[in-house]
Amino acid sequence: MTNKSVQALGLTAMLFAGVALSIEPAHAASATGDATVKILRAITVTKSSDLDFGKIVPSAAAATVAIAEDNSRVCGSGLSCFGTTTAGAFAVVGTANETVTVAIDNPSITLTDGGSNSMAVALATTTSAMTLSGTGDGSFKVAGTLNVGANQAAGTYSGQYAVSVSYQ
Amino acid sequence: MRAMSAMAAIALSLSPLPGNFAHADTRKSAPIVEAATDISFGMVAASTTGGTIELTPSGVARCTAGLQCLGGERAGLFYVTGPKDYMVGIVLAPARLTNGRGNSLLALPKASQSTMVLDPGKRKNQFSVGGKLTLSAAQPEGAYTGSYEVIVEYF
Repeated sequence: MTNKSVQALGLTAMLFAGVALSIEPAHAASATGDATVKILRAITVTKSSDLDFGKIVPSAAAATVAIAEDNSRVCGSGLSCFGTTTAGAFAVVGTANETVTVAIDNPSITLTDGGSNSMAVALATTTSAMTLSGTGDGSFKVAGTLNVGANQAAGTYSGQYAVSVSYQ
Repeated sequence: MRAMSAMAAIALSLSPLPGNFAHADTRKSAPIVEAATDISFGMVAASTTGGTIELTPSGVARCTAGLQCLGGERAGLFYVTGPKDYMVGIVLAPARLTNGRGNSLLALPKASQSTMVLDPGKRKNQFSVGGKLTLSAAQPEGAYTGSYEVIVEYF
């Protein structure tokens, strides 16, 4: 008996709720919108060769040694140059057919022999922008001009530089 | 119960046709919503760490650290047409964008407003839609597209 009356009460409440909703049905109109985004592959830059000035015999006068992007060398007057030379080279991978810009972060660097002796190098690249290939590949080279001091101390000199490649 | 009765009374007072008990909307000019412009998050360079792109309903994209927003973004635009002084609620459903190569992105659209009081006349009431896009680490490249549903609710 008690159970029954509780059930009846529940039904009344439900009916009431149903009526309350049917008085004001919520209506909705809808539309569909499209969203798009083009995701480009994260660019990777890998060094494929170091900029190498080869071997140099200094003289009593300061002079320069220049390495071009085609690996060729111009040896300053008074200096003797020999050994293999290479331009700096980098491989770029990104999204196919996209244009990227290339920059040398620090175009003026200093090579040191690990001690107190140093030489200045000016870096340059003719590639300021390029379009990646159909497979997303690209490459560029870095030329350099080394300033050899008068009677530059003997030793192995090295230094580092950084490049940046970004989508345009 | 008392609260519910009160709500019903308020609803009734707003109703243009208080005597209508039917479920179907029989009014002549029920509000409609039309899509006018698609959302574009533009071009984004992915990163190895992933991140989010947030497009404001005013059409400005912001990328979190690592991602590079490269431009070309624009907000979505919708028009609501309906009777004067109707109040409508705007609800957006999330979308999954795919690049046709099995990769997907989750987009959460966000409207410039959640409610709107209508002015009379065709296409007089507009709202814009931005959203948030989540990129996974090393998200595969591609042109991603997808659809989202816009629902305009009214009483």
